Amino acid sequence: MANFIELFINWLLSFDKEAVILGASAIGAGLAMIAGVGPGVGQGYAAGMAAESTGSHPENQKTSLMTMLVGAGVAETTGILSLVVALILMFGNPMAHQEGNALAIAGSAIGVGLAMVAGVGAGIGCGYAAGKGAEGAGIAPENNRGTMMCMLLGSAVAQTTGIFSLVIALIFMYANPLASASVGASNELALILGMSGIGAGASMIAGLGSGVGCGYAAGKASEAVAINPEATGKSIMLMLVGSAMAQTSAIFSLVITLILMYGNPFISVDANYLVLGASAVAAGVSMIGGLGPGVGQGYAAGKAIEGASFNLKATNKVMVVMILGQAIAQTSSIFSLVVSLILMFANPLLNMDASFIVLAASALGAGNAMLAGIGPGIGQGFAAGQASMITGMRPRLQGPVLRTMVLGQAVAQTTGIYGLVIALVLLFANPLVGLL
Amino acid sequence: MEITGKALILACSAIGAGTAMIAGIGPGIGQGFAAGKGAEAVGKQPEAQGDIIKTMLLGAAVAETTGIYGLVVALILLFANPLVNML
Repeated sequence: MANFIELFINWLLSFDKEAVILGASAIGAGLAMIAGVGPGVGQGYAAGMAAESTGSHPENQKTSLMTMLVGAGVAETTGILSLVVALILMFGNPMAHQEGNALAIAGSAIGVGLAMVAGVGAGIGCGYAAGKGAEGAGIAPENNRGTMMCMLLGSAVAQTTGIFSLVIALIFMYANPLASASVGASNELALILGMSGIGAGASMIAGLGSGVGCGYAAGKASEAVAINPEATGKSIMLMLVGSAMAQTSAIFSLVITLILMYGNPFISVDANYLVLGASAVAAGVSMIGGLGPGVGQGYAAGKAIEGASFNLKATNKVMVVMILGQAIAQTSSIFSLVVSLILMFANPLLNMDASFIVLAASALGAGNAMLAGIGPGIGQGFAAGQASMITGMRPRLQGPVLRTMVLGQAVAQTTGIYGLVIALVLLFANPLVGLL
Repeated sequence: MEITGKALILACSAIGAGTAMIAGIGPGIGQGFAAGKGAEAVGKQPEAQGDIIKTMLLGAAVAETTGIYGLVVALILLFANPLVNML
């Protein structure tokens, strides 16, 4: 008797190629629309801040409203990008007629939807920036040019990861390397390619974190500039340096996605195809752990801006605390990257002689365990933020503040390390295989 | 490619062990918040640094518990799996 996975694959293959791809496209279109969560949250925050500002400063209602609408317009972007992708999948589906195997193309269609989920981040982040901009416009309408400039510059940075995801989605839809690789391939190879498509899309979800984080930094910079226009230069400098750090984990994810698409290590290995496919999905899921550092590092950047704006002379001391704290918050995404690379290039499960389902599930379990890294990334970033802020207010206490921050961050790292240990046990010292 | 009942349980245990570790998100966020507030408090009252750190670590230890629960369940599923023996 064939196992349930083979039954499922054979059942899928009993349909026309177009039917399987169009079905997966429907799921992809739905997944893409999850991005709408972001603008909803973000614009709601912006609306709330503008309403509050109108209550406290009714005479500045027009400036505040205008700033809020401009910011909310930017926050809408990723929602519209996802809508466009969903409409393309529904009304002008380019995937149904791609040359190649249905399984590879169907996996890519789901990958399109997963990648677009990253847009949640930019929606929330840019909405936060719009809210802070509207608040600033109410307090100091005379500084509104600088406030708006900061808000728009920071929001543009926050949009980056949404655009990375759009690019990946467009490549899948119009120049799909996985479909090309599946031309003339066996169904087994096509399944590996399809699961690589799902993994490639899942990996991009990490960009959600950078979107939220960079948007937070943009909001704090807008606030600082509204209150104190003299802080403009240093606020923008801290915002850009801090946001660059917050983009790192999204770039790690982009690299893993591109490897899965263009340099897929799984197609040339002689091993069970389901273990290979599961490893491809797990390599992508593992990268979602990078979501945490993105949020946390952006928070640190925002609080550093707030701290430096109290005391511009302390900017350098603040920046040292921010960068050190952000570097520690990066750990989780590096753990994720390591596990993902092990799954792709040094996967010990591929050579093990055991039931394929235990090995495939161990790969998936290892990827899931790395999601724990989201927490330490956010938490350590929060610690870095508070430490940066207080360093701005009391620069002389930089030493004791730093020590407390690092000690607390070390404690916050523990659960991420637990996740890493479980992932490594599943990969290198798998006790389940021995129980068979 | 036959799947035995035992293999199915062990496979599900592997996924379950990995999924249990997602609990680690919570302590990570919470302890980081504690670390941040601790650093902030040391900045405001440096003379109380010892007490601040003690309080922070005590609270962080409490926050760790659910992460350890997740770890324990994962370790049981991996190293002392009770499910395979129920077959």
